[in-house]
Amino acid sequence: MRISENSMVQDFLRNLESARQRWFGWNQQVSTGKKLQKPSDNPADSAHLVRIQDDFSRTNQYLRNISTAQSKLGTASSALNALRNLTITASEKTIGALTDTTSQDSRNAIALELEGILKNIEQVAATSVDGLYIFSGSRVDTVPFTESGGSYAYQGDDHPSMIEVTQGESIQVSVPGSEVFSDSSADLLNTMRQLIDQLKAGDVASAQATLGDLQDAGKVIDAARFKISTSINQADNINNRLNDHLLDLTSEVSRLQDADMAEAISRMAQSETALNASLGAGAHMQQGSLFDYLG
Amino acid sequence: MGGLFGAIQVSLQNLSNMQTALSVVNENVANVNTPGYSRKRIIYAPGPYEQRPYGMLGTGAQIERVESIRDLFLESRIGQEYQAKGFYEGQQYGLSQLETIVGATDGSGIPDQLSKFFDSFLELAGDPSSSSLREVTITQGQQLAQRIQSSAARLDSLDEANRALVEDSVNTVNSLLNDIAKVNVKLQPLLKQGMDGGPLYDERQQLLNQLNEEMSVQVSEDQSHNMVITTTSGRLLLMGTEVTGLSTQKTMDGTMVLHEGIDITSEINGGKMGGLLDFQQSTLASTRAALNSLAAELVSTVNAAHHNGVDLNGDEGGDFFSATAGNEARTISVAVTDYRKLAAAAPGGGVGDGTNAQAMADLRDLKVAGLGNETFGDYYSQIVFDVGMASKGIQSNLDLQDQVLQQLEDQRESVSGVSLDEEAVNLMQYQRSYQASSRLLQVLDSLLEETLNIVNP
Repeated sequence: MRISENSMVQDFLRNLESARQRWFGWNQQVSTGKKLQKPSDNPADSAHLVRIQDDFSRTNQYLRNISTAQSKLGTASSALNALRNLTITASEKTIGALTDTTSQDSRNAIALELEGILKNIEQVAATSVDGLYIFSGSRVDTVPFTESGGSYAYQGDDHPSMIEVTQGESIQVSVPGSEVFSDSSADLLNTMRQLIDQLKAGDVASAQATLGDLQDAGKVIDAARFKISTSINQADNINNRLNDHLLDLTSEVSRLQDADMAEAISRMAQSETALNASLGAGAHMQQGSLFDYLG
Repeated sequence: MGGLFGAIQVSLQNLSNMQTALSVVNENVANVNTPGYSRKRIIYAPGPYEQRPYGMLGTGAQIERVESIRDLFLESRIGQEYQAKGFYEGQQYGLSQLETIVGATDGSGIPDQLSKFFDSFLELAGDPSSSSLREVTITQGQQLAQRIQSSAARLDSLDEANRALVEDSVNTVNSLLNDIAKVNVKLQPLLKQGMDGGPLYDERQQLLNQLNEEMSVQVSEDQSHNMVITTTSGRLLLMGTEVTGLSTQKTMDGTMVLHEGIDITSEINGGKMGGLLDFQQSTLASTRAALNSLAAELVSTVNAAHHNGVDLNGDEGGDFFSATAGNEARTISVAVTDYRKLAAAAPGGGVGDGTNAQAMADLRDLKVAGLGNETFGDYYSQIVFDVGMASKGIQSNLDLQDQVLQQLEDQRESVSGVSLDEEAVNLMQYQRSYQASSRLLQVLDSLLEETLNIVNP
């Protein structure tokens, strides 16, 4: 094939341009650390990355939800533990008050102590975090119990507070007061009230029966504590699982979008050599023609 | 005329021939870097013969013609390949911008905002009475709406820029047609006489290549060597030196390309103009439609879910998003301004109930019927994939087309291009020939002198 001067120059320029483009591509990967600069670099990976990043974002949100849940569970758990201890103390005191040898004075004194315990129970029942009552079900802005004429009435509802901690899995982070204080089988607050009145009145036989109710109320609290501790375990397990998942996602995101630096750098060096060679060839081009030898 | 005087005439003729030859070499060398230049060569022919008693005697050599060396078939193929190149270039311009619009990888793109939007409902569901989380959810909704709006606005301005390019392209076509007509004024008379057009022809060929790159045309000649350029659908653009140009007209939803008052937009399918129009009507139009569907479904789905809940006042939720029907992507905004009006609870639930917020967070996994049973996120990732594939396809087509064109240009250069070595050899040859003729003239002169001396001692 006849090679004209023009085609030599044009070919050289085209080759130089493509060598430069290759070098630029690798250089861009090295300097940004990313191999996916735009969707056309790898359409399938780019689309996949969109989905992975959504999962990534959501998983991080679930982890934040878990820490919210854990803080709520901590509050619920300590409130319920305190309640359980109060009912145990109340039971013990009552047992002491109901022995035959106990005088009415002593019973009155114990009744007074029970009044104190009842106050504590009322305080626990009205536990609030940031002004939100934890034992009102979903009516968190309402004081759970009101008292009138020695009788307690529940003001909340029976919706437990649920937090989604992973896709399709919610855990219960609170127990409504109706399940703790005024369950159908045991009504703690009114039982305590009754007990105090019966002790004051010296009605041992009735107080004996009411003590049974108090112990039943303790069992109801235990059931609530069980629910909460189950949730705490669940939250811990899911937390570990999500952290593992997040690690997988991080490495997947990195696999999709991060440049393989070792490859990128050596390819850049390679393409730089090619670029320099091309420039060198250009410098030698058209150095001579027959004209140089015409005398 | 025979004899010594005749021989002197022959030498003189040859000296003049060689001068012409040298000037042709000179011109070739001078145009060694001129793009599209076709090298010239001289065609010699023996001079007229004279009948002598002893036979035919020549009268030296004559220059028959100077011709440019070109392969007409190759040149018409180059023209066609320029049409394809222009077509891909026209598409690539918009596609590379479209890619940056849909493929925002800076963490603030639509998919990221969608994720954050659903995340905020997920968080709100766990703590629905929190006023700050409610504000966050509204803000995330606003950011998502703004991101969709700004993407839609960028698509609109890309559309406008693309239209302006179509208009530019039409102007370029008209000016190229006029340039070709001007060349034809001088070139056609030469061609009609059967002469070589030389540099005029080269110039016209260059203009034709540019025209082909701009839009697909068909070129032919009528019987009287008038050039005829038509669109691929046969509409006359140029007849000899008469140009029937194109014009544009803005319409409600685009730019029309007109030819003698007729809308021929749909007939333009090659060259840069064809590529621009194709991009506008295919990838850009479908991406805009897809974004609008996404926005429309988002508005209706989220609003429907929000209506199912009750707000902090215990009232049924109103619209979460508002948008103008049919133009959702450009008009989407958050309708809820008061955080108390965010319907996070299910009917009957207290302020601490996040059932409806959870239901709204769950919309993330909803397979939306209006989006081909894809989730919002997957639908968007499909847009990214489609645009990425289109752009990748055009890039590889363009690379391939460049190679094809390079090969053809190389072939053309190998036929028509100037090689300095070759010209040097020609120069030497003509120089020697010139020297030989001068030498001959010298000999003839001394012979003539001898003869004169005999007569006049």
